[in-house]
Amino acid sequence: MDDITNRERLLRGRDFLYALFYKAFAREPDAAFLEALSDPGTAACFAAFTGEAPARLAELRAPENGETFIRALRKEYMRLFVGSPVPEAPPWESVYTGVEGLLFQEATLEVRACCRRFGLLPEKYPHAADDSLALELGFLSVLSHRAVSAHEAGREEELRRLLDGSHTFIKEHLARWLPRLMRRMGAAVLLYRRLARMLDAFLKADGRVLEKLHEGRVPEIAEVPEGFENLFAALDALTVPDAENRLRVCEAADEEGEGKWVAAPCWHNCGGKCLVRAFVKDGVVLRQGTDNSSTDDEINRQQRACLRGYAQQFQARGLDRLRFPMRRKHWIPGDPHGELRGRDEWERITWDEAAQIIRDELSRIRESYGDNAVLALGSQSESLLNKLNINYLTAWTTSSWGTWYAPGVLGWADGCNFYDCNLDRLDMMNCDYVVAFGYNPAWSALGNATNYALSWKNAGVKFILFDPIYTDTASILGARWVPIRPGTDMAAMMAMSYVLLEEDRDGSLIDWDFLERCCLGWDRDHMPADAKTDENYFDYLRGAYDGVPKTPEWAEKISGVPADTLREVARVLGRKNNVALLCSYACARTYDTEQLPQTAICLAAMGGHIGKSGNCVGPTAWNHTNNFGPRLIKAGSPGPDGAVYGTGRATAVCETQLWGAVLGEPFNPTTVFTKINEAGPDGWKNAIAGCDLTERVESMTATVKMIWTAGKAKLTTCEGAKKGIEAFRSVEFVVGQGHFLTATNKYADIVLPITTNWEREGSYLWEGYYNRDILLVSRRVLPSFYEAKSDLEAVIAVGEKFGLSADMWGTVSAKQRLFNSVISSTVIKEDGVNWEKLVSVTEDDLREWGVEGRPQEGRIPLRTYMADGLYRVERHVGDKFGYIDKKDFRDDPEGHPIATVSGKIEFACQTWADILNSQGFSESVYSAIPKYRAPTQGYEATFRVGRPGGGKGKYPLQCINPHYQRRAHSVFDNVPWLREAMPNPVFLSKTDAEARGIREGDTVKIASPYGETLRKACVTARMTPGVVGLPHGPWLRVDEKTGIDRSGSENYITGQVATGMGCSGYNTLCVEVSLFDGEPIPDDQEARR
Amino acid sequence: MKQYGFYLDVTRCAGCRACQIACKDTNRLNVGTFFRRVRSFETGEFPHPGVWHLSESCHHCDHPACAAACPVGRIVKDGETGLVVFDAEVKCLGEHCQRCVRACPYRHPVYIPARGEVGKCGGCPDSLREGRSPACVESCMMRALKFGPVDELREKYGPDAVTALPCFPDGGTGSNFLIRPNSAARESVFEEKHY
Repeated sequence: MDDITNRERLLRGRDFLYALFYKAFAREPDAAFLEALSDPGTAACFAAFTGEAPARLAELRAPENGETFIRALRKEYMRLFVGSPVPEAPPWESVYTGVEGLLFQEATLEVRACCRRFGLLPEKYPHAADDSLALELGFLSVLSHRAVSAHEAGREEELRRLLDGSHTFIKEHLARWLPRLMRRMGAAVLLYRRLARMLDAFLKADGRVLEKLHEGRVPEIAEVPEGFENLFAALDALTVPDAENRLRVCEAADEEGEGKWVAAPCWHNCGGKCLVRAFVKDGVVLRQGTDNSSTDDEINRQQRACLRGYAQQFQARGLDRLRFPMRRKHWIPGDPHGELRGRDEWERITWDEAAQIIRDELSRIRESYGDNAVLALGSQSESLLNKLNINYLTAWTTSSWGTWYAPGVLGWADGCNFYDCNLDRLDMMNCDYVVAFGYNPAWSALGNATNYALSWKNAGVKFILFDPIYTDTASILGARWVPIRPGTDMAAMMAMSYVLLEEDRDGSLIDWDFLERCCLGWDRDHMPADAKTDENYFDYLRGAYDGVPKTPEWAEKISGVPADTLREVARVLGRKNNVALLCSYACARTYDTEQLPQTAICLAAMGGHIGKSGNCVGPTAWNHTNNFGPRLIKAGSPGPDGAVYGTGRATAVCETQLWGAVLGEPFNPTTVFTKINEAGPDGWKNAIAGCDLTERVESMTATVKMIWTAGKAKLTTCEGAKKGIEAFRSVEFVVGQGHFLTATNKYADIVLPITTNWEREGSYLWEGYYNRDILLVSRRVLPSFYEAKSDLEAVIAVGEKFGLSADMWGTVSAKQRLFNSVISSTVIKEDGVNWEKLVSVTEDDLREWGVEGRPQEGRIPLRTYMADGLYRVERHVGDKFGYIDKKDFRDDPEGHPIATVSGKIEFACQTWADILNSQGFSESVYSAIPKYRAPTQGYEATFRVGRPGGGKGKYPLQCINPHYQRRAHSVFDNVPWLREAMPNPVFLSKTDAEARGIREGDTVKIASPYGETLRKACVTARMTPGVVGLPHGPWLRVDEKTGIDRSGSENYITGQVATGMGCSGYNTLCVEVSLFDGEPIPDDQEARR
Repeated sequence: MKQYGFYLDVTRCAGCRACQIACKDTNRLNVGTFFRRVRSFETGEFPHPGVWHLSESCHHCDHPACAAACPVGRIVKDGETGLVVFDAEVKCLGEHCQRCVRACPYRHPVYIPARGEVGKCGGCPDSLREGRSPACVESCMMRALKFGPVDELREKYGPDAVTALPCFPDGGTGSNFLIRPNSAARESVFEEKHY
């Protein structure tokens, strides 16, 4: 045979084999494919290249159990390469040559560049990763096919380019990572391990062939058989691969785009709100960075990201992201096999199928069960129900605030939605002392909150921190640590108030003038007009109503804080010191502490620590980065969106009753608590308007048949997850949506893949919910990931099945709305009084954005702001931007009353008591003055008789849930780098560990009355004996055999306990800890989900 | 030549590990491989415990033991910065050598299986060229970690800085990693913890 004929055979042979391998790995197997694969011609062709006959291909042709066999092959294919959603053998080069666990890395761009040079791109560019096995084979297949044509047409130069291009690509890409992929295919015994070996052998052989051809020689190989036409036709006749595995023709291009740094602020609600930056090239994040703008000094800090911000790429491009909608295998409408939720298999479906299923189920459930049969968790799913005029259930919660949820009644801001409380961070430097309860920004917020506190320390402020943990914050601030038992802070505060009263012989401790002018309810002669009894706080402290003076000795028995320490700190709280008394949400996330904020306010008021420089009392919420007061830079308005609303309305169930409500148990449908923390400190007045506070709210029940959870992670973050799973399993239909198969989505029937913030038009992130000095903004960082849609697009897809038009959700584009917000943003002028527009807008800007608007003058160019992602108001000591809460009130209480009924600080607040007694969840009666009550699941409950004394009970330890640096609530728990950096142990005191024979690293079981979970022990001197620290937020992973969670999920062992205002009492929980006698848990970095 | 190095103010460090993650990001490192690692230590007993965190990378020593141990001369001192870097022209002998890994008293150079070669902190040369600091320093949330000419670091951050601590003996290689300890870090009885 002459060289030309031989070369033609070779080229045709490799053309055929690449087409075959492409079809093999780009689509599910079927009978027609097996037919082609097992044809003797295929084997002969393969053997011609590799010199070896492929093993047992013929037996694939017609196995006895044809259909069953093909189903098994399909399953193998799906398990290996598609996954639900993580494939066993991830078929992407980046996973092997870049950071494991990430798609879209350097290799993706390299493969893309190769394809582009030959005028090819993925059909789903830029949403699907270019460096998949299927697309790399697709590329080689196209090139080998073109090579045949070039040969036939005698275009030698083109032929050479095609063959050299293939050769380089094989060497630098496919052949380099295929062996690593094959190592992940151990269990692929039916077909794919064999196919991968064949591919590997063929690539090696083809490499040799190409090398020879490059040298201008035609290799001597066994004769490639004739008769390919039939086999080509067979391959052509196969159904086409999924779109994500197809290439399309584009204009060939040699040059690659430049990468650039873009602002990509972190969107999670840890409270940091930091500036992440991403180096992005053609839709791929190559690395991350943070705020590196020029100034970074003690007063003006860069807004640097934390470890989580730096791992944001795993949120956006993680291997475990949902790429397509899925349906739970054994779910059938009307026969849901709910007991399999959380352990069933998943099947890939299309968006169209998913939307149709949701539409059908929603209709069926509405028709069969009527109102309130759907529990909707997430604003977008709620928006659809509203437009469909379906009444539904949703949830309300105090979960962040604890009992600081509604301090408006007391005249205080909640510190989260409303932040006109406490002091501006620079005024904090004027304190002598910060006395704080549960204050740990170093773990809870990260970002700048701890830096600001450190600046106060450097200005001479001393810190006294009451906390069950010796925190990193305490260490950094050189604080005096006062160990205290969880849920007992009220007792300690009351005792300190008692000391002030007892020791104030010469007026040196109590600010009587402030009490006289600004406060009511502190003694019998100063009662508010609406008081229903003459109970006053000082008489309560003295023991007038219960015979128990609230002495430090009394408090020591409860709180564990030595009486002498309470006396010392009380003296610090005397009027001669400037003191900020800060009370975290953590100590208010406890049962039966509805009067904790009031107790703190009373204590501070007695020392006069309100309304003057260096003095304040209030909640510490990290949303505002330790920096309180009105914003210095305000986000503008997006303007009307043109959305149309329906009549479907929500009945909100308190989270502490949520799972019970799904299971048909009665719940309290109060409307006061759902509205009371809206619309500012005055909002409580609207919330109770028209309510009869002398009548108790009647409970109701509902028949819930469907749960639609949209990004709320409720099975992780809501108490009583064990009961939650029961609730999920009880209904007929569950829809979940989000970025990952989270602990919550795992228990759904349909899951929808949702875009991250990086993949959306852009936004003002958590507008207003952070540091008053700064305003972050973002534009789209990345294209959307595979088939992910935004939450809004997802409900619109379902809405369209009902015939609703997308316009019902608004007719103004997201880009226009973002633009409107940005251009109407304002920043304060140096005089601290007047405001100016933040950005200048030019005609060029309008053209570039493609939006409607007019040029305007502002402080900085729009372009600069969008590129920086951040504007920071520069601060200096003595600037005009300071804030002192209630200064006007203190100076002129009559002229500037606070938002209480009386306009004064109410030690006896009748309204709050009336709200609790009428709307609340407890049978017991609340007084207008704060009174200590032993919390449900508190310290007292660790004793057999429910009060100190006698022996300890079955659950003798107290469990708290510290926020953990590796997560923002439940977010980031799946990130490998972070799981490695922080092992998420359970923290045990040395005393408690030794008493139980537990050593560092042992797997221990933490058991409560509600559930059991496992963690490795960290035995530490930093924990108060009697207290267990179980970090907040792991994605639960329940061992179905034992019913024990293996993830350390704190809410798997909390209960659904509704007391007081329905407060989430995460930090009041009685537990026992013991060595676990079953299989120890692996380190978190190894525990893959 | 100015000798560059790192400085860690332990009194500021919250143990957040942002530096460790920023380093992984910049150097594209998998789980199990560190060019910078944060470890935590505890001292004392309840109710007087102490805690501190050590963020450690290459010490960029005056007399790097890794360089001395490398049989092919791949590890060199950079002529301008004194940083301990690789000679890009020289290929690592790979898995079976690893003499540098064993020689370093600070256990710094690490063998990277996926790359078939040893890797280490190079001080983020791209950042330095742009006049910026290494990624770990730029990421430091608490501004505890600094980078610069060692004599300037010493001058700026005071004579308190040390290069050895009870848990952290001097390697005898002329370390250019300065540490300002907190009181816990000076205690002779300590325990490494995995918080």
